[in-house]
Amino acid sequence: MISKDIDVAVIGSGPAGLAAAINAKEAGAENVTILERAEQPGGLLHQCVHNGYGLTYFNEDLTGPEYARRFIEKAMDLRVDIELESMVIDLSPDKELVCSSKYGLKKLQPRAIVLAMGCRERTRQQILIPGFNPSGIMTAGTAQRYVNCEGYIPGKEVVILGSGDVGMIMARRLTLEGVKVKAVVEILPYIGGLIRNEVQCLGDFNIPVYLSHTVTNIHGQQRIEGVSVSKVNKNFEPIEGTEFRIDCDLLLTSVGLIPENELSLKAGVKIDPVTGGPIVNENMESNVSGIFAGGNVVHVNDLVDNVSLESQISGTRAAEYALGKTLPSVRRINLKAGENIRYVVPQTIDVGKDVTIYMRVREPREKVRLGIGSIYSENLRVVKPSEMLKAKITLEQLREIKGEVSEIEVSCVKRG
Amino acid sequence: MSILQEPLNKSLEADVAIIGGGIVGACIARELSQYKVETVLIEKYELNAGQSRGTLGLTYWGGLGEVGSSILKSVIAPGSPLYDPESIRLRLQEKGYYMWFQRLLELDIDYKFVKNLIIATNEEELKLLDNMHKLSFEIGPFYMDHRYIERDEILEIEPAVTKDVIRGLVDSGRLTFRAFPPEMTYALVENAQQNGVEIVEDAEVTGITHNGGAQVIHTRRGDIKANFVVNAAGRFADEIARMGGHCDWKIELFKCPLIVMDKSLPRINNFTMLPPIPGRPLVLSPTNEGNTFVVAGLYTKVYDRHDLSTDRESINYAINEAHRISPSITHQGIIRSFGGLRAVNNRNPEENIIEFAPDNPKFLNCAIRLPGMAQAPGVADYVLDRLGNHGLEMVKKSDFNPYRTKIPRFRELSDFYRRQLIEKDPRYGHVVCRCETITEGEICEAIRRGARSVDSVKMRCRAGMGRCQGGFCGPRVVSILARELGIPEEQIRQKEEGTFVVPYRSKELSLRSQ
Amino acid sequence: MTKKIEIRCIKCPLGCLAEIAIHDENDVLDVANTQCKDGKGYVIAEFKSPVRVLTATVLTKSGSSKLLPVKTNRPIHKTRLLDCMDFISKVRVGPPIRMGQVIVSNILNLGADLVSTDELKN
Repeated sequence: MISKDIDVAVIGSGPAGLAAAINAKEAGAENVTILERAEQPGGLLHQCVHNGYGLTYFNEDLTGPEYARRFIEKAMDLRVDIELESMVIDLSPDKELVCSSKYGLKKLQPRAIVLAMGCRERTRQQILIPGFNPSGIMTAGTAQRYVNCEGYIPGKEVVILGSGDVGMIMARRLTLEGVKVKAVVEILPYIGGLIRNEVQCLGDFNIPVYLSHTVTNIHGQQRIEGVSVSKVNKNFEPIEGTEFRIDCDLLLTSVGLIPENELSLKAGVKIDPVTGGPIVNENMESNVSGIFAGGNVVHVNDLVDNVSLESQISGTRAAEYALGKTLPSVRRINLKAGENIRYVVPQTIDVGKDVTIYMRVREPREKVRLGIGSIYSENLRVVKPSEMLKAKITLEQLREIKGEVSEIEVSCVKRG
Repeated sequence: MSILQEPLNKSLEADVAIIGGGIVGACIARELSQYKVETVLIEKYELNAGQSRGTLGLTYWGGLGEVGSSILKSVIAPGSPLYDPESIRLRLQEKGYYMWFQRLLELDIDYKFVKNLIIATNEEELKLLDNMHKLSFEIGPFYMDHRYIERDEILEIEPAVTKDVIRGLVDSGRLTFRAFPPEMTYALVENAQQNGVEIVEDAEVTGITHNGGAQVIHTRRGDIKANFVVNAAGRFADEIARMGGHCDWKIELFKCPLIVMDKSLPRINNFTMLPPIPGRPLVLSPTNEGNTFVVAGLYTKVYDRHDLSTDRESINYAINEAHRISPSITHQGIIRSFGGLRAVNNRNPEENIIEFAPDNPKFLNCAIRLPGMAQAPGVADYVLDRLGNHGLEMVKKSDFNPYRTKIPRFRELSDFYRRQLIEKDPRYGHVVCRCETITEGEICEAIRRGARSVDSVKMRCRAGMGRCQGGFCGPRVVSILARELGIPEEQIRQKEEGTFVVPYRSKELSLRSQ
Repeated sequence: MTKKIEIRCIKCPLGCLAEIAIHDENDVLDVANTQCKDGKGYVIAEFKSPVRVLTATVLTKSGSSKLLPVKTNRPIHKTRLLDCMDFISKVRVGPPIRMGQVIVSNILNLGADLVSTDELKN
C-alpha cells in the first residue's frame, strides 16, 4: 500500500532539508514531510557547537544548534512533518520510496522529492595508510559526535591528518577539553580550510602544522601508539629519509567529504563525477523528473549559509513541480568548467530567470578574473579551492548569450 | 580489568576443554556437543580473532581451488609434490569439504558455489595455462574438473574482467564454495552453546598443570579443570603445546595482504586469477555481499604472532596486479585492508599435527595447515575419534538439536517479512548502519548471542563493514553495547582488551598541562 | 623600544600576514603588508585586544541529553579561554533550559555571560 498524498518529501533534516521543506511550504505545497534517520532534526548542525554560522543568512554569528533551531522552529510553525529515526532505504525512478522506522515500513510516492542527505567523510583506508588496524583511529566528524553529543573523549594525545575545516575545528575543540593536539598534518602545501579557522583553531593554541607532509605508517597493534610522518614531493609521494614519529593515542582524519548518493543512484539520478553529486539544473532538479537536490549532497559546501540559500531553490521548485506549476524551459545552456575551475553547480541553466552559480577553483591564485562566457566578469583578489565562489547572473545577462550557443565556459584566469 | 573480564565460576569443570576459538575449535565444540560430554571452549581474545578471520572463506577440495594451497606450498616447502596421495591432510580436507554441506544447512550459513577461473592475457600466461592443464593429467582425477574456456564465454561469466583476456581455464564450480568465515565460526559455536557447551572468552591460558589425574588450565580469569584438553590454538598452538607436555615443533607464520573493495565496483563472480607464478600470485574473490576481495599470496614470514599489518608495497603490488585482471580495480576503490596469517608447523609444513603429547596422554595437539575451512569438520571428526580411543566416554545425546538460525537480515528480506520482523521487535525497523542497512534489532541480537565489542558486533551482523567503516554507526553501536551490557560507554572496546573506543568522559581530562 | 609583531588577517581569503610595528608594548606605530583598509583595522584591533567567542558544552543532569551546547554572549580575551573551560567543567545544568538562557552570569568576571545555544527539554 503506497501513500500518495505527500506533495514534497525531503530526505534529510539538516540545513539543506530544513530550508527546502520551509520553502516548499511557502511556495504553496500543502503536505511536506521530512524523513530524518537520526534521533533529532538538524543533521550535523547538532554536533557543530562552534560559531560562525548565519553570518550572511541571518547577519548574526550563531552556533550550529542555534542556526538549526531557527529553521526547525520555522518548519514546525509552518506545519512541516518531520519523521525522526526514519531511514529511506529505497528510492525508485518513479519516486516510490520505502522508509523504515520502528513503527514499520512506509511506502510513499510523493509528487516531488528533494534529496538532502548531505555527505560522509573519507576514511583512512581510502587514502591508503598502511600499517595495523588498531583502535584509536576515526574521522574528525565521528570524534566530533562523541565529544559534542555523547560526552566522551576518544583519546588524550591526538594527531590530526588533514587541515580541512572539520579537522581544525576539532583541534580547537579537543584542546579546550584537555586533549594535547600534537600536530596537524596536511599533504598539500597550504591549509585546506578557512583562514579564520587556521588562526583561531591552530594559531591561537600554537598547534604545530606540517604542510606538504602525510602520515605514512600507523604503529600500535591494539591501540594506536603513534604515527610516522613524512614530507612529500610535488607528486605527493613520501620523500625517503624524511620520516619521523609522533606518539599519540588517537589519530583523526579530516581528508575530505563525499556526497552520499547511494539513494540517488537507486533512483537513476545521474551523478557528476567531479562533484560526486547529482547533475542539476537551475531549479536544482536532477535528470529524473521531480527529483530535486540541495546542499552537500550536490556538492560539498564550506558555509552552511550557502547550503540554505541553494536548497531554498530546490524546495520552491519541488513545490512548483508538485503543484504542476513548473515553468517550461526556454533555452538550455550547459556550463563547462574551463581554466582553473574544478566544477560548476548547477551544471546546466535555462535562459528563463536569474540564477546563482557556485564554483570551485582547482588551484589557489591571486589577482584573477572570473569569467562566465562573455556575459559575466569579476575581478578577484585571491581564489582558493577551499573557498567557494558565487556569481549571480541576471536574466538580462543570460539573454546576451548568442542564439546558436548551447554551452558556455566558466574560467578563472590570471589578470594581465 | 574491565567488567567483561569477570572472574570465572570457581567450579568450572569439564570432560573436554578446547583451547582456541577459531574454526577448528568451533567445529570440535559443535561435534562434541552431540555427546553427553561436558565441554568448554576457551578463547584468548574474542572468537575468531586469529587466522580464521584474515581469510577469504573459500572452502575447496581439489580442482583449481588447490592452486591457492600450492602457492603457499611453493613458498614454504618448495619442491614438494603437488599431490601426495598419502597425505592425511588431503584425506581430512576431502572429508571436511563434504561434511560441510550438512552443516551449512543445519546451521543456516550463507554459502555460494564459486567457479575457479584462471585467465591468460599474453603469450607467457597462455604457456603457463597449458602447463597447468598438462599437469592436471599427470596428477589425475584430483585436478580434473576443469576445461579451457574461450574469450567470449569468459566475458560472459565474468564481465568485469579485462578485455585483453585471450583464454582461460575454468572448473565446474562444484568443488569450491564461499561463506563468511566468522559466520561459520559463530554458527558452530552458537549451536554448540545451544547444546550445552560453555564458551569462555577473554581468557588467555597462562599455564596448564597436569599430574596424573585431571588437568588444570590456568587462565587470566581463573582456573578450569578438565579431563581432556584439545589444543586448537592456531597461531599460538606451539606455546599451548609446551604448556601441556613435551613439544618438538614450532609454529611458523606467514602473512598476506587482503583488501576489501567498494561494492559499487563492477562485481566479480568467480574466484579469478592470472596463472599463478610462485612469489607473484594474486586472486580476486567475490563475497556473498557484493564486495570484491583482492588477495595477494605474497606470503611473507612474520615473527610477531599479532602482526596483522599491511604495508604500502604489498598493497600497491596487489592493486596493480588486480587492475590487470579487472581494470575497474584501483586504489580509489579500497575500503579496508588487513593482513591474514597462515600458520604451519616446522616439523612437516605440508601436514597437520594431530597427536597426543608424548608425556600427557590426555592432551591432544591439533595444529593444522591451510586450508583451514575445508579441513575443519574432518579434523573435528578425527579428533573425536582419537579422544574416544583414548578413553573419552562418548554417549550420544538424545536431545541434541542440530539447528541454528542466523540473525535475521533486514536488508535481504522482502517488505512483507520486514514488516513482520518490525512488528515482533520494533528495533528491527531502526536502521543504524546506513551503508549496509543493518538495524538496531540485528545489533542487539548480535550482542545477545555473545558480541562484546564494536568489532565482534561488526563480525556478527555487519554493522560498520560498509564504505564509511563505522564512521556513522560507530557511536550508536557503542551506546547500544553500553546499554545492552549495562556498562559505561568508556568501557566499551573496539576489539580486545585495551582498545576502549572513548576512554575518557567529557571534562575528565586536566587542562592544566596546556 | 620598537618591536615588530606578525598577525594574520582573517577578513578575506588572502590572509595577509600583517606586520605591526609597536612602541613600548602598546603603541601602534605602523602596519605593513595589509592590502585593504578593513584588514588594517582588523589587525590593529586584534593586536590590542585579541578576543574570541568561547563555544563549548556543559554537562547536564538530564538522562537523554548528556551535554548542553553553550557560548559566551560576548567575545572574551583569548588567553582566558582555558580558564573558562576549567570553570565550565564543574558546572552541571538540569532541564528545562531555554535557548539563550544564562548558565553562568559574568563568567570569571570577564564581562560576558555563558548562555545556552539550544533547548534542553526533559
